[in-house]
Amino acid sequence: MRARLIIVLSLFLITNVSATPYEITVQGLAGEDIKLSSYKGDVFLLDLMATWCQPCAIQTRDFVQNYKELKDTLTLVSISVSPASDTPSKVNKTKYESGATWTFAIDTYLQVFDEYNPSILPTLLLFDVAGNLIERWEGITNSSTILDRLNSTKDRVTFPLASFLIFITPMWAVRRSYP
Amino acid sequence: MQNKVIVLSVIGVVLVAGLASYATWQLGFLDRKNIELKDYGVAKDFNLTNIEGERVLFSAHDGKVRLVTWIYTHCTQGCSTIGLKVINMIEKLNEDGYGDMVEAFIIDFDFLFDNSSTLTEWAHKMAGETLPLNIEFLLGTEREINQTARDWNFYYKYVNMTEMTETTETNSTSMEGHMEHSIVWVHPFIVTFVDTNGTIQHYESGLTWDYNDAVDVVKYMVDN
Repeated sequence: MRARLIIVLSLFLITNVSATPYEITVQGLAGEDIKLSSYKGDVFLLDLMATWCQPCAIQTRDFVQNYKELKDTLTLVSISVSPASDTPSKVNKTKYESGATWTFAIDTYLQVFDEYNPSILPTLLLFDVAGNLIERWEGITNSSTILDRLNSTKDRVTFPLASFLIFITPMWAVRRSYP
Repeated sequence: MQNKVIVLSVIGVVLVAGLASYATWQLGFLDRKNIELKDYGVAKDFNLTNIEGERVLFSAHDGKVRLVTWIYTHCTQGCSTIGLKVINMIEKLNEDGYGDMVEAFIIDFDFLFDNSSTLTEWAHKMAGETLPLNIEFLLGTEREINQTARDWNFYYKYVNMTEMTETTETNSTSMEGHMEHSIVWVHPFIVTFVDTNGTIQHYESGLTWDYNDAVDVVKYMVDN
């Protein structure tokens, strides 16, 4: 019985483990390393941007205007994926001038660029509480679109539970067959 | 007995599906690493001017793997993206010890509106105050650019958007992200990979190509 339990649980884990962003480290504006694992358990939005990118400035402005609503439902992190050009002081200036109050960082180790390969800036990546990428937007995206998507995301947390039940049911049936 | 069959069937199906997914993922991974290069012919030489005012001969860099791409400074999203990708590729390759064996050429084909000062500004905006030594930002006269573009099968055409916007209704919000967009060139986004002997072996086109794969291609070309 124990063997069956182990097999079923292993299958559950194998099929539910997916790549998460938690291994990624970016650099904060004070030069410190920020591990994305520090956002574990949060719904969070990565805003891939660059200080020279004009559409990114428009995106930031939209975030500033709607940050009150956004911060109630997600953690926002803006990350410059142009480390060759964007120094901490340059990013800090962009942050300060836009009036943004959320975390800004730099993809100094190009780990975000490696993993998510943005083809246009800004690129927005929305992750659920389990670290699953649940939405990707390329180009300027209204905060309302993100908030709408988040409302539909709430159902997603039930997925692991549902899939666990799918695996546990046969085990329960076996248990019933062989008391 | 019937229950047992059902249960074993369910477990069997799940197991097979899991193994199939894993195998597909593995094969995809192997396929990605199994880089195939083709012989697209010998890259034609060019002689253009860099932002320091020096003449740069493509063939002077024989012995290195070379990346060639095309931009113009008033271009908004696409050229910035391709510039960013190439610059990040070079940064990554330099960091991984391939810097001495790789050179990138970013050719500004807008002979009408760009000059050394606009390209210098663009280069620093994209690549920082200290430009990587193995990236050349190049300009040319109309004749030089036309010749180089012909030799490299690069198509471009100037579109006068000022005339078009006069007759098209626009709203200020939708045009906000397209400042300076009155200068528009129709052109493809392309990066050409040339091996150490001067043979074109690979292309990346569009903007969605995989950055990791492109870095792997360059490393493979250097190592083989």
